[in-house]
Amino acid sequence: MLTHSPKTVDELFLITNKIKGSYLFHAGGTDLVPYLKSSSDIPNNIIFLNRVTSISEITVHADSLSIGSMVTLDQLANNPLINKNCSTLADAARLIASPQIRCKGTVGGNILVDNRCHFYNQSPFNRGSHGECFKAGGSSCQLVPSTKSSDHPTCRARSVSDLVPTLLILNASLVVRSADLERKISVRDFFKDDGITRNTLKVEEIVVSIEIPDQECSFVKYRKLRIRNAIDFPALGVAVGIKKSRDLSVAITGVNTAPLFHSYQLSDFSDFEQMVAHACSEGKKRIKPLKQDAFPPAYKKLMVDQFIRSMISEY
Amino acid sequence: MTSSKAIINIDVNDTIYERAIEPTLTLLDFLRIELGLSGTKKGCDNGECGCCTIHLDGRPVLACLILAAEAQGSKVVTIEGVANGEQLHSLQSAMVEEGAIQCGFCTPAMVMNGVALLKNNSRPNQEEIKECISGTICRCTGYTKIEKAITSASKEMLK
Repeated sequence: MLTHSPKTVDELFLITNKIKGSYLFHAGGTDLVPYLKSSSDIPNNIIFLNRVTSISEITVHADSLSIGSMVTLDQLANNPLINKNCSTLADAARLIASPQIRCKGTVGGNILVDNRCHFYNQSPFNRGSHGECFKAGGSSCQLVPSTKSSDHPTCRARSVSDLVPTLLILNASLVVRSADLERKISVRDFFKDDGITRNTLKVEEIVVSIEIPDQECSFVKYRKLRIRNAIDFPALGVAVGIKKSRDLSVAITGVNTAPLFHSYQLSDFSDFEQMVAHACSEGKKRIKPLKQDAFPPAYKKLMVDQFIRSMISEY
Repeated sequence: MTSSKAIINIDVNDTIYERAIEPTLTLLDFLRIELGLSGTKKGCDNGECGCCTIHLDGRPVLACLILAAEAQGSKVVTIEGVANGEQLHSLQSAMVEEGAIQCGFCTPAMVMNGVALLKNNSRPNQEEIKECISGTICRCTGYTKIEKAITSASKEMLK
């Protein structure tokens, strides 16, 4: 395996054009390094992004906020500009993992974090004793054995980013670069309902920055369910946003293959309370918890209701 | 720029080391095996126990989650670099005085966590202290005395 440490985005893509064989981009590495230790599928090249300073900056524009993908979660949580202009995102960042991991893990890494599965996230040796699953190149799902179709494999690994629900509420966009193209995609259109491919990012692309437009929401909150508060990925994460018009939006992570987002217009309901009740009911309906997860499915459904109502009670 | 072995220069405890290493070598194994600095402990090797906490460019991080090749040009401080010669850091003295060391396995990481906190916050409150050590597991569950030691060290450092 070879390592590369480009200092600019242009240099990065010169390297990807030249190198032969497989490569992986290394952001904070807090998820990638355990993967490299346990995987038998080691790439030929690792490209470190930590020296690319242009994607490690936080900038306030006239009508938006731009966060470089290599900004660490600790920097995001403690940055005065973020705490002044988008404190909800800083609060969400403080709920991610441990202080040491936040000092290394990055915003881009958290958005792109691989989905979690009780079966897949074991060593290849342990997995091999059961037969490989879709995500490991096999022909069945070990979590939901009834899923057998090899034509359209459905991986049920959970989406677990803590920042994504808040970014969905804030209608953020990702600026994505490849060697010859820069594109901008809304976070709401970025994720795929598939635990293997997960999102629309191509192998040769990197997320350069996250752009958050001026907030339509006057109130945004995120809450998270987990066993060990200091480190765990969300077993359930719920964000709510309320606009000045009192329209409501809800985003949910940690349960389904892709993060969920739905918005409700107050004008479609008789009053605010009815809209909240509908959002709770829809949230419970839309999540598809598995019995193998850390909390029982019925408990997660109950907590969706509890989280939405308790956060809205602070409005 | 590229080779099958990565050449790294790292400042560890104010000494520059140059080594040719395997690209997959973690910073934890580099410190413990290549440099013989075994004070940084290897627990889960997966980022969960927090026993391998070191300072990388001034920030507390987990050495088991960092490839040594990535740390090229960085400044690392391990538990061996906290004391000033024979003179212990105030937090190390406080850990001894408060009986905050039981089996000792988490102690280097707890000290590194505490030193990082006290560097940026001279009067941490209980919540801040609990948050600072939350990423490191003490298998003897001696958290209360560790918290007391950090409080005591902060008072000592303010004198």
